[in-house]
Amino acid sequence: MRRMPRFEYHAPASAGETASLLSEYGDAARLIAGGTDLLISMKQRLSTPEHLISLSSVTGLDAVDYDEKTGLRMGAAVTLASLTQSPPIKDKYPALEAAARKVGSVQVRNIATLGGNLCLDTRCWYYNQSDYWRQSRPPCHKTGGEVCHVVEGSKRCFAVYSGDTAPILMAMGAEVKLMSGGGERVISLGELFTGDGLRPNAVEPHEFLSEISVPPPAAGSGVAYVKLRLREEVDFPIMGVAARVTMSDGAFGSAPQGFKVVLNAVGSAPVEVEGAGEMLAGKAPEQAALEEVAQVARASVHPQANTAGTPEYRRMMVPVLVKHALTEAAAAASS
Amino acid sequence: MEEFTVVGKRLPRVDAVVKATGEAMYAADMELPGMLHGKMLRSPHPHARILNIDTGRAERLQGVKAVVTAKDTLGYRYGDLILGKGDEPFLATEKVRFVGDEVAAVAAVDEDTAEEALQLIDVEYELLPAVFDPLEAMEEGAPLLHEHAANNIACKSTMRFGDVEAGFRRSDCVREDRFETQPVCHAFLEPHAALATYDSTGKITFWGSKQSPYFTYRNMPRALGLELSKVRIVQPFIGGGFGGKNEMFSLDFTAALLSMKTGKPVKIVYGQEEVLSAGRQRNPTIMDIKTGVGKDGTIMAIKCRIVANGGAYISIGRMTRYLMGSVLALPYRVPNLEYDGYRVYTNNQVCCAQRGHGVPQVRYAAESQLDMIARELDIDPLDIRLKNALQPGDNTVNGFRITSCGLTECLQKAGEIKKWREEWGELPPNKKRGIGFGAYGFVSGPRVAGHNTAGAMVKVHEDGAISVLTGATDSGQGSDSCLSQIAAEVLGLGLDKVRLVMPDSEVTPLDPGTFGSRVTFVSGNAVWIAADDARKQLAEVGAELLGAHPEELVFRNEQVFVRDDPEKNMPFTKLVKSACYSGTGRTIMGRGYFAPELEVPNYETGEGNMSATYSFGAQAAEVEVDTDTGKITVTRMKVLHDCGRAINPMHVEGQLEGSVCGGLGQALLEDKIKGKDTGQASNPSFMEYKLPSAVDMPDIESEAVETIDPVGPFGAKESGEGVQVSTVPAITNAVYDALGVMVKTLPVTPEKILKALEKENEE
Amino acid sequence: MKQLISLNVNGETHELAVFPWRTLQEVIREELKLTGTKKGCDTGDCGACTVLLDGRAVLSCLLLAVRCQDAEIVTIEGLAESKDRLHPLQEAFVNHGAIQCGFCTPGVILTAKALLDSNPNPTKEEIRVGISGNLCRCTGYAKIIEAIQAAQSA
Ligand SMILES: Cc1cc2nc3c(=O)[nH]c(=O)nc-3n(C[C@H](O)[C@H](O)[C@H](O)COP(=O)(O)OP(=O)(O)OC[C@H]3O[C@@H](n4cnc5c(N)ncnc54)[C@H](O)[C@@H]3O)c2cc1C
Ligand code: SF4
Ligand code: FES
Ligand code: FES
Repeated sequence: MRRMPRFEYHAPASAGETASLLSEYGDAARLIAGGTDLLISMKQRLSTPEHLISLSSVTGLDAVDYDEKTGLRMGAAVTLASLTQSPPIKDKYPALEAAARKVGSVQVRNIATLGGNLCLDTRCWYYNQSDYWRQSRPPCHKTGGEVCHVVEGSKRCFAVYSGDTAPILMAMGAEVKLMSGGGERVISLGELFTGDGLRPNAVEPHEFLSEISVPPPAAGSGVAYVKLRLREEVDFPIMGVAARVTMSDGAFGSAPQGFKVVLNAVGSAPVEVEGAGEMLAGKAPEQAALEEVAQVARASVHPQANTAGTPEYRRMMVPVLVKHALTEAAAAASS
Repeated sequence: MEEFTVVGKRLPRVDAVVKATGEAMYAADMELPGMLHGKMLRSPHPHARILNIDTGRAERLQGVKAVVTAKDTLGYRYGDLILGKGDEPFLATEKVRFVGDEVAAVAAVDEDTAEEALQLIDVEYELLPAVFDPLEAMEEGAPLLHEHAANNIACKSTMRFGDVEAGFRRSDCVREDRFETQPVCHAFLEPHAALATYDSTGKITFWGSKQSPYFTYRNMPRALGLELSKVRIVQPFIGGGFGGKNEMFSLDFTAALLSMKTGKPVKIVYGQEEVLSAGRQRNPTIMDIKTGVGKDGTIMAIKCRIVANGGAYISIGRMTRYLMGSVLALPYRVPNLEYDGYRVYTNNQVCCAQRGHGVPQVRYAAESQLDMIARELDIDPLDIRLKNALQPGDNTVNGFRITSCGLTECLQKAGEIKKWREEWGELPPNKKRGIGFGAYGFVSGPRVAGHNTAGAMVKVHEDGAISVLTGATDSGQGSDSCLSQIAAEVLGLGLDKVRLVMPDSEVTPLDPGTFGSRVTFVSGNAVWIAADDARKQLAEVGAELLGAHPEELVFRNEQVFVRDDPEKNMPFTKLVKSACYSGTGRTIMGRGYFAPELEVPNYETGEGNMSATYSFGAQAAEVEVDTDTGKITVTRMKVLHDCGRAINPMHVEGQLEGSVCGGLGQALLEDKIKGKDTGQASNPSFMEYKLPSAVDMPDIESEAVETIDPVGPFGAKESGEGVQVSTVPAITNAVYDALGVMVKTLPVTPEKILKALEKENEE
Repeated sequence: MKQLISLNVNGETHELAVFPWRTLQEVIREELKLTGTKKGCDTGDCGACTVLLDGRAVLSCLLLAVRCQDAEIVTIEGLAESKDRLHPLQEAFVNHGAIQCGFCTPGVILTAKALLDSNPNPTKEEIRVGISGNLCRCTGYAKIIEAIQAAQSA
């Protein structure tokens, strides 16, 4: 691995200062939060920004607040470790705590941030490599070239998004706030993801993600995130599934909005299974109901040979994990 | 009174404290004034002719002190310890043969500059067709890696013992299966590092992460055109070797070469990415094995053809293909044996020894197949092993002479895990459990080629402490502690009286290093003899002072006394002082050397007794398989090892437990993912190359089974390599027990499990 | 382009001029010469570079040194009270045979320290999870876990 490339370092103390640095340097700047992803890609020369703008001294960006009416608000720079230790999250959003715990190792979580996890770059065998390694092939779309080494002849990139907190937050209907010198905008977390392997999120170069908010947990609802990986700790997901269900009287609730199934690490963005609510609402929470969603989910994804786990295996696992996630979510809702 | 006071005790290692405090210096931690930093330029192509290398731009970069390529070398080629026909230049000459082959090197004032300079070296390549699959490589017309090796066959063995066909005819069950194994990294945490300095007397002093500094000592002078003793190899602490730090590598040579060029000390440290993508690995194999067994479980014959995908250069491949055949039948009585082994050149990373050297692959095949046969014959897997187990006094068909052998006891103890079945209770429908066994034997102190002699000196300090000087290297396995315990026992001292001396070719005696599980057995004997020599020198003085014969003196608990008259005694320190200071004074320095009496075996035909003794053992695993996801969890293991005598049971356990890490990794997790068309590993990081973490490891019951070898020091054999030889089949057999299907390629991934189950359901 | 930073390491404050692109690992090893912090992978995967930052275990290869201004850093060299008094974890690692090649040891001990500080009585499973970011090829972790258990009751 190479040593770090050179850059100028900025440590703004406020959101306003951050925004003005971003507008000043534009494309030449990159945000660094925990740096657990960015530093590696810089050593690999996947990223060589002239300016690095650190979010770690921005006041208030690591706050966590909970309000019964408005729900949970988390600053983008909150570390995953403090997220797992935060009383309102442990108490009201245990599935989020569990998902955050599934990211990396203790040491990674102590530094890694929620914002960084959501803005995590997409991954691919042919991309997350050092410049030395990559010399053996022509550059691909994601490194400025014209080819894809995974899907021959493809004009697009299939790199995989695999942040572990995104699916569960999407399932819970999270929104994110993007700030810039010109103000701020709030979009749903789903909208943050472009689905484009090259530029996986909608954060513009002059913007930064400042806050993530989650509505208060609805009565009778339960959420769960299941993550499949070869080693039970540290590893990125081979794939993951988050599910939200609502239960009433031992059956699934009647409102389709009460359900959401989100697949992770099978494409360039977390994918919501369409029509899951309609398929589940009002049904008995038994295998047959789950099976239908599981099969629709399976048909909706096309994993490629670019991360751990062959595409075939990952497809095989989609229905299995969807059922696990729904079962766990139902159990959580009932408890 | 206990027989021993130090040997056999669970004492902390002699190097543990400095390792716990961070004071222990590894090669990468060392620095010398004015030191430069070196970096290697590697080939991005799997097979190409080098047309031109232009180093001009790199040389002109501010801070660059030297750039070297093959033209700065004498063209020495390394590898092939057995015939001395090395084929691997330290810097590529006319061709590169795999992605990662070293092409040039730079020394600069700092690492950043050296890295930058690499980008400025312009190499013009003519691309050549490459071949990655060993079977394709053996076909007519395949791209040829080395002119001298037709069909890319680097070497082969043809072993014929008894009459296998007759054996198969007498068998009631004959099975033929193909098993395949993957490339596996040594995965030591410490990447290779080398620091060399050339001085005005024309001498190179070198510190490097070498588990066998002797190989560097012998190779470096030849490669640089220096006299042998103008190279001094000093041993720092080593961060794990497992067979991957034996040879002298490009960085070792290049650091020295760059130091000669620049007149400054030069340090080169590889990144883990370089180690994982361009370093050595375990030979992947394709094994066609046929075994015949009688109704009662008696093994009648084994026939096996192995193609080992050795990568671009020979390394120690001649030994690999010999071991795969000669140890094929160990640990069983097998009257008829046939083996054809090929080690094949391909445009892949180079393979070398790795813990168990070639044997874990064959044990995986043979032990797995044995379980399939046991099932067909309706024999308990443990019973079939007990039935065929070698016993003390046996000779194998290829000429191994078995002296001590505790296999039966190991197996019996491993068999105790059968009671685990009763603890399972009712399992959820998607969970299946199973238990499995693997048995093994391994060499201890083999004769490889050239000499296998070990020398030792025991220096007695004036305060009654001692230093043990050997050339044997502790790469983490604990040999320094083991050798120290031997010396302390002989002299009746506590282990705290032994001062650690690292190997230093200018000071410590000859010793080829750490491989072939030879250190405890061979170097241990040398230390024993040396300590005894020191004891005799002291006894002479003591006898005079105590009015007895030297032979009557006993050294124990830091006292020296007359055996039949213990009242006549004196403290060890007092004796030492008397010896050192009285009269003309004496230098108490014990001297010993040892080499087992062995012929070099015939590597082609397999005849010969390669080792003075053999270790044995058995491993047992319990697994749980999730039939939804195919994931396997190893829940418990029990590992037993006949190490002769456990000089330190705690350390033997540590070796056994560590072997489970390597074996479990090979069985279930570790693999080089090959990208398309370059042979290069797509997963050169510990994120994607998945060696087991603490959560992937089972609880392990480990135990040393003692047999007291007639030749080993205090009866000790080995507990380094043998211990890992049958971890894989214990696990794969447990999976077979759980599911009734055998996965015949490693690693046994969840996907393979699901596919095997699917196929089983279809049938 | 160097930045002046003051770095508190093992209770001692160092005024340093460092390039902003230097990692904490590089500064600890190369400037402060505290080589007990190891470089196993440089990419966050092995844990050999673990140090304590305000009491939490972090990977020094993935942290910029400039960011650690004002934080309290403890490396393996700062753990023992004095040369003749090892920290109980170090003591337990020595006595229980938890150290083989020793390359992972400084990192594992510091991770274990942070673990025990936040959870004085972890279960075996919690220990496994807690140290899963520290790879060890030599020991199979069995004696490491044993040592941590011994230190917690010490
Ligand atoms: C050993 C190891 C294991 C890992 N395992 C996992 C895993 O299991 N699951 C997983 O999801 N991840 C894993 N990761 C990846 C990574 O550590 C996490 O995703 C982490 O949460 C990233 O957060 P960070 O703050 O470190 O991001 P950084 O590295 O600081 O940033 C990542 C990207 O996001 C951008 N960014 C950061 N914050 C903002 C913001 N507020 N607004 C806009 N852009 C922003 C950065 O510019 C950068 O492009 C692992 C990493 C390592 C080293
Ligand atoms: S999917 Fe294709 S284009 Fe995208 S990073 Fe991988 S190789 Fe490059
Ligand atoms: S060196 Fe930092 S985690 Fe490996
Ligand atoms: S003791 Fe060698 S890596 Fe842990």
